[in-house]
Amino acid sequence: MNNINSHVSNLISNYISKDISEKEFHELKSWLHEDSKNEQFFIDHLQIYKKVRRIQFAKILDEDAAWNNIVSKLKHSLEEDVTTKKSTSKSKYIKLIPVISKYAAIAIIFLTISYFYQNDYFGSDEKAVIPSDQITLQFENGTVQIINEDGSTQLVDTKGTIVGTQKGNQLVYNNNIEKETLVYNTLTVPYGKRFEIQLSDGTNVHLNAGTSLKYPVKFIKGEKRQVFLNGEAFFSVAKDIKHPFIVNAENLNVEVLGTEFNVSAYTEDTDTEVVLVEGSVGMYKDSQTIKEGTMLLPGTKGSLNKESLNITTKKVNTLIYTSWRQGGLFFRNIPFKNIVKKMERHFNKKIIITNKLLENETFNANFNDEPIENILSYFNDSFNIKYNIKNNIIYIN
Amino acid sequence: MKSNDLKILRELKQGSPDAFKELFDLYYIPLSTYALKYCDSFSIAEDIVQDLFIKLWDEKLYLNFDEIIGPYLFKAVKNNTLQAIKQKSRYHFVEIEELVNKLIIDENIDIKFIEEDKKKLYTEIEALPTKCKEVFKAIVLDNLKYKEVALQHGISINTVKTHYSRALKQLRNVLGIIILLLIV
Repeated sequence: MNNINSHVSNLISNYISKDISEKEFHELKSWLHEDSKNEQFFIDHLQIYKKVRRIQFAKILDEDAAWNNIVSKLKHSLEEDVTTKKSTSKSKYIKLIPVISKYAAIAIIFLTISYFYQNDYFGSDEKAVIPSDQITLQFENGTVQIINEDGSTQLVDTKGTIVGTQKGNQLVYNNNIEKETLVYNTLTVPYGKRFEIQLSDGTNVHLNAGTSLKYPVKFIKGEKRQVFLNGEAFFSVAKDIKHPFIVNAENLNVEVLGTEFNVSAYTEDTDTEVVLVEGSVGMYKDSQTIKEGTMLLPGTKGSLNKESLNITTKKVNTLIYTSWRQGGLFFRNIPFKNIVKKMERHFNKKIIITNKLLENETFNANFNDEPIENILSYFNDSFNIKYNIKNNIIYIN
Repeated sequence: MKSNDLKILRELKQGSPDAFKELFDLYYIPLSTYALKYCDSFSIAEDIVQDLFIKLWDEKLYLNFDEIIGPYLFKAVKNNTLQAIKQKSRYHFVEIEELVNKLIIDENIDIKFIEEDKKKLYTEIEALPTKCKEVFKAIVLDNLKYKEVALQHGISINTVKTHYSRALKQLRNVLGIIILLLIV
């Protein structure tokens, strides 16, 4: 039983990882036929493998994301079915038409206004000035559309093709449109808000407050999938080995095949951080290729220091870096000035620290989705840090 | 499960979106893990189960059922999964795979049990020599290819293979315990 030689053991591992050649497959087959004990040994191995894989799978399955995905792909939407049940008479359908065209008209006016707004006041300035408290979508030609989180809209390109749909705080791009050149959109999320987007390849991106993401409306076959990030986002990348996915964050590139990770790249922060939840990613600087870069293991954080341009890695609890997706604020050994910056983004409030000594002191704290008053009073109660609010600005002494 | 299943079906036939969500909550994880046994790919497994739910609603497939809907869902997932991997599985022991799949029980998957299994199994994995452990985890848990593991650890593909074989061998020594722990 135990005299399994390393060659057979090698064949088994090749089979399990689906890397087996035809010749090896036949070798393994004849070994299995030699003895029923061999077959039992093999069955046991396969069983361990499948069980471990299953446990791992059950651990990472995200039911909510799956449900959202299903709902977004339904042809007969869930609400629609309820209404058709109630309104079976034809006259109701006819009545609906003026209502729909009224909405259509509103949408057109709205788009025109934002177009003039953009052109008259900001001219040809590439860096569009964006209403600071709205989620916006900027098209390739510079037009800016405001995304209303309570509503739903369809995104239409210059030729009139529907490229995507927005429902509430999620935007989903179609995969069935045809494009031969890269056309970019830029989504910007202001302080105090978060937003989710599904790119045309099925990759999900959750954008944190104060973040903008530039991405192609449709990825081009045969080319790498590349997006540009300023701020913080959680990526759940659709697996596609032929088309590596690259997040470009200032001068750092994060390259993956299909996995889950968080990138935090705010211009004002000293480090750009990548936290890997699942799978494998490579981080490399603009001047490098992936081979010269740093590979991250799951449960690890890689940081690029913007001054020294060094990449360092560290084992972390990934939950701390992804809790923002549920509205949480988790701080681990973070200087107070960074905590305040995160709070400003999260709550869209201006906060000023008047005591310079406090700025670099580090703290640990966890807050779930709580109002800013709770957090301020926690710091007051636990560390005797006083604050007052004047003209909507919070001063911390 | 059975009576609940029938209740859901009754409401589904009246076009209730709530019943559809209930059906999803009840079956999404068991169906996905079931699909995984046949395709060994996280993404294919999820795609197949999601597509089935979409079809079920869009084409009102539930109207065809009078009996409990569960067995149909499992059967459909199995067929669709085997269909999806048909081209990929050239070197495949059909009978052995089927036997192993039967040994792994699917219905009523309880996350609590899975959590317990996981702990026990991870203790065994943690006991492996460091390099073996890292390679085993990368290949089995993260589903990386030998090439990717080699690149990640800066070692040759042959070394990866050696570590992986060694890990399997050692796990085999404690296999009796593991299988017992997992099957309960």
